[in-house]
Parts: sequence; structure tokens; C-alpha cells
Amino acid sequence: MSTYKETVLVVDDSRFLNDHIKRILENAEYQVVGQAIDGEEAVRKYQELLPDCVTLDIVMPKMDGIETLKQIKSLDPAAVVIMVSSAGTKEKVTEALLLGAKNFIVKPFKEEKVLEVVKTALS
Amino acid sequence: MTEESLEAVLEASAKILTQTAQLAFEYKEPHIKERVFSSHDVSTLVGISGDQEGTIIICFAYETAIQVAGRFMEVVGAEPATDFTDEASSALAELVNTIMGHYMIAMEARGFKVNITPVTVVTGDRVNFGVDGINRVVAVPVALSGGPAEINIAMK
Repeated sequence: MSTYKETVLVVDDSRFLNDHIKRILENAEYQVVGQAIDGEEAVRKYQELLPDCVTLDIVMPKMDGIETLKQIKSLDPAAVVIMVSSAGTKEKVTEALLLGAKNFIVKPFKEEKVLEVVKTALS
Repeated sequence: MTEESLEAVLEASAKILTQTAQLAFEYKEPHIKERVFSSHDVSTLVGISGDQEGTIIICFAYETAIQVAGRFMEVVGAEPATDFTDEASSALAELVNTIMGHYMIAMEARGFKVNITPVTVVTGDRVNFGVDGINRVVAVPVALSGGPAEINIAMK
């Protein structure tokens, strides 16, 4: 019997954190269907992959997390997006929540926190 | 203008290096440099814009960079680096990004709204950085439990 794995797109310009979030999610039986390192790539992959959830870094080159969130939400108002923020980006996190982000994770994060937030966002 | 940034970056570095990376450290006597150049093998550069403008460069000796990146990797539950790989470089950049996030908070507490660029990592000792409009760089050596480092504040 096959079980459906919820799918996630991981977006972070830090290669280390991008891969680390992917490892955390895959170890917890989520399926990471894509990774992106900037906002433009994220929007393109969202359209292509239609993941159940997106983890989205705020500070990124080319297009930041706020603009990326706006574009994803305009493509799919029901998109489940979790912001990944650094300390010092409190105002941007608030803006993201007002724009429809489901929740946020503050870096550096613990594995348990990532899983708790993703699980809650997808429930 | 440099004084607020200096205080803020030292406060942020102390917080992250001790609380997040759990490294013992000690600041040494600050000194002035006439040019912006790296004092150690691995440099992390962040641009500052907003109420204050300039560049902050945190340099690490090669072994220090491995230790610091490794500690950060351990803290988030990843396998620590044993060499300065691409993954270690990325982890070090993320640690510096965390320091700079706290620098923004510390600056806000001092009445200055600033933004930061993503962190750039450069390897090579005594690399010169051309930063327009900078005529004074304050350098603060840091003795970390993993080895030497230096914080350079070059504000316009």
C-alpha cells in the first residue's frame, strides 16, 4: 500500500540551510520535490511542482521572500508558505503574515521546530 | 557614525558566538586601518545601507573558520565540518548572517534603521577590498576558542 507523502519546496539562498531543511523534512517522511536559491527560481518551481508547502527564506538575492510570497499567493491564494527568517527581520515577518504566510521559523532553528511548524501548517 | 556600528556589531557578535555557537572569546584592543584588507584567510563581507552605510568584514583564520562553521552546523543538528568545504562556507555565511540580524536589532535600539546585504565569503589572506568613500576602518581582533578572528567596521 502506498502512502502519500506531503510535498515541500525549500527556498533558501544558503546552500547549507537549504540542504539541511531538505534533510530534516525527508527524514520525517516529507517529500522535498524541489529546492530554489532565489525568489525567481522559487516562483518558477512553484508553478511547475505545485507543492503542498513552501519554506521560504526572507533575505535572498534577485527577489526577496516578501516579493516571492506575493507572487506565489497571486498564482495560488491557497498556497501554504512558511517564512524562514533571521533575527532583525521582525517587520518583514509581520508583513509576510499579513500577506498570507502560514507561520514562520527563526534561524538558527532546531529540527523539532521545523517539523512542528510544517506539521501544523499542513494540518 | 562608526561608534554605533562598532558597539552594535560587537554586541551582536558576542551574543551569537557565545549563545548560539557556544564559543569562548575575548575582544582585543581595537586599531585603525587605512585600507580595507583581510587579516586572515577567510573573510565574510556584508554591506550596510539605510541610516548608516558601509561594509562590515569579519575575518577568520582558516582553522577558526572550520571550527566556527562546525559549531553552527552542530547547533542546528547537522554533521559538523572537518574541512572548509562549500557546505562549511555556507554555514559560516549563515552564522555571520545571524550576527548581522542581531546587529540590525542593536542598531535599531540605538535609533538607526539599517538593512544588510546577503553575506559574501572570500578566501585568501590580505585581500584588498575597494570600498568607495571609506577613509577609516576600525579593526577589532577577536581571540576565539577555535582560533583568531577580526571584525572590521568600515562605515561612510
